[in-house]
Amino acid sequence: MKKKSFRIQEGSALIALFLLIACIIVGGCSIDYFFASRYWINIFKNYTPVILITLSFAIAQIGGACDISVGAVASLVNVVIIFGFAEMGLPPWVCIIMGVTTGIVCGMLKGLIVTKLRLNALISTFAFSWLAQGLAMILIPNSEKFNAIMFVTKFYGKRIGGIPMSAFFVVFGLLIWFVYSNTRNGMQLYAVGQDKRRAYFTGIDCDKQQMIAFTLGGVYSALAGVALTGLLASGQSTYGDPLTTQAIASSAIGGVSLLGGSGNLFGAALGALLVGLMSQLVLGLVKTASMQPIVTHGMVLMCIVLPSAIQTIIRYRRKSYE
Amino acid sequence: MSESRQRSARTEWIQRFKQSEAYYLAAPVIGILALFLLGGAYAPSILTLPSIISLLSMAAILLCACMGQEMVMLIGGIDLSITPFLVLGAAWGGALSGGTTLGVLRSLLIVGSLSAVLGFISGITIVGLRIPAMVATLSVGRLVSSTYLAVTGGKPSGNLAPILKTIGTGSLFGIRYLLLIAIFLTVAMYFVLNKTRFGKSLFLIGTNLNAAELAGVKVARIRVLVYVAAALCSMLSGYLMVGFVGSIQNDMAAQYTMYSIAAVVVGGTSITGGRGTFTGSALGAVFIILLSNILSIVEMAEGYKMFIQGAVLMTILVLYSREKKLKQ
Repeated sequence: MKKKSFRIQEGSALIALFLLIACIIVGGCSIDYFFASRYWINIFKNYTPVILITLSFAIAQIGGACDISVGAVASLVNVVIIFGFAEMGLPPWVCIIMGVTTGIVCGMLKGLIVTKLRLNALISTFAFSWLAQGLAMILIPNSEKFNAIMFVTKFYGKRIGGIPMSAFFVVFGLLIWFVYSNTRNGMQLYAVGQDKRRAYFTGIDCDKQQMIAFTLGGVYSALAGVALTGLLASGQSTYGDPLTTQAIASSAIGGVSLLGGSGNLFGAALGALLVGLMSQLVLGLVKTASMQPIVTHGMVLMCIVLPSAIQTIIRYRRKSYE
Repeated sequence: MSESRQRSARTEWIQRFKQSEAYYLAAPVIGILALFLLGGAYAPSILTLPSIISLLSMAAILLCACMGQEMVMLIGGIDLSITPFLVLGAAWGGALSGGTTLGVLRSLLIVGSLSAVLGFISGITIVGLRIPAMVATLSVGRLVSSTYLAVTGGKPSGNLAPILKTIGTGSLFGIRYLLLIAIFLTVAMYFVLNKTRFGKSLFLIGTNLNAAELAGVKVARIRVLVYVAAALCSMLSGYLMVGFVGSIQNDMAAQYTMYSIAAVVVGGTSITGGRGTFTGSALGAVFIILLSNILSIVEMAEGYKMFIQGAVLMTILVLYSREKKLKQ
């Protein structure tokens, strides 16, 4: 049973990679400036928040908890940073520290809710997303827009050796995952995600592992919030929440099973990048504005369905051979 | 000795109460009463009969959408495509009807079969391709809403048929049609869930899928059917909503997916499936609509409104749906 689910997960991550290459080929053939560094810098700049939100969703999901408040928390972080700067007149660094702390605290709170209060993760994070979104809208009502911190925007738009700063955000996030997933805690997280009960009987501290996963998810949300501040150059309280749906789709494409306990964050990041690249390509290739979202969402649906469809066909053919 | 026996009798009584249906119905009932008291203290007009009736008829729209969500949640799934189907029904129901009763029936046929096909697609994706319900319904829903936006160009138009307006705002012997519909739907769902083979198999599937399969329930067929039914219910509630509101807006039902989940959960339906009553969900729908109405009356800023809704939902979850400890 375990081996089978592993195979499905691996296959779908490979398919995400395959589709990404296909997208690059299509883009390279049809758009002249596709391989220009500007194009890619732009893609990373625009989609880094989504990628980080996807990572935040995926890490909790690997631990078997479906966290749908990641986008709202990222927005809250963005709003806290801008609020601290524009309203309270704090220096930028203090604001950023404040924002990041907010993100991490939110992650820990969610962890406590899921582990100590023993609420269903999906529905309790859904309530939590209302709390976070509400708090963000209390600080900055959506109709108002506050001044940007030019400092953050400049930092976000910077390039180091031709590589945009936003890409470093993602690399930093993946580095955390790389270190974490190779520790004992990271291994145990998979066990918890696959079957919490069995993991408990093997002597794993399930609450601790899920707590760590949620806290790291909070770190990713905080990073996403900082990236959002750089991207939007303002505080927008409702920008983040809709990104959650994209994150769910992206991590499913990237091979993170919604049943928990399989996949990894590299796949999730790949899935998010694929979705981002696809929507960017659609923006360039499909000329009718009203058709663009249909094509994008249709392609995302296809990407989600494709791996499972292939698996199902293979399974049926095997069955008929036997 | 006798004291301990008494205590054990009492705990047994509490245990039995906790397992009974009444325990789960208590949350929305107490919630509704508390809200009426609080809201009535602030704005006594809430407690007048017309406002209660208008509240109940608004809840009827949510209740219709909740029917689908209830069935989906009973089999252990979740439907995140309520809003797109609702808007589909509301907008195209208005646009295709051409303002006549016959047109409404025709549009019901067209939009209904379209929703059924789309619901069938998400059902097949979930059951046949083993995609989690959340992802499948989300993606199909996004596809539906973007298609709808493309076709209407963001500005839905069309004449509202008088019959829809009558259903939405008219009344029969002083009772709103919507209220009658709500009562009818609640009773019908009660019978479907408790008295029919289909309804009973939903509980079985939600409790244990494999056991249901072994017991001879046609699991795959019923699961697909449930997603089709959910799409149809949301679509129908769109017709009710367009009649009630009287015009078509793009963002008219933005919160309804979340409201329907909240209502069903508040009504005591287990999110992992297998346990729940539609009576609870109906009360939950009234509770959610009442909460949002009161917060609107108080003229609270949108942020505070959302925060309070989240806090209330969280409180109910903490009181009602804590899972069992792993260590027993």
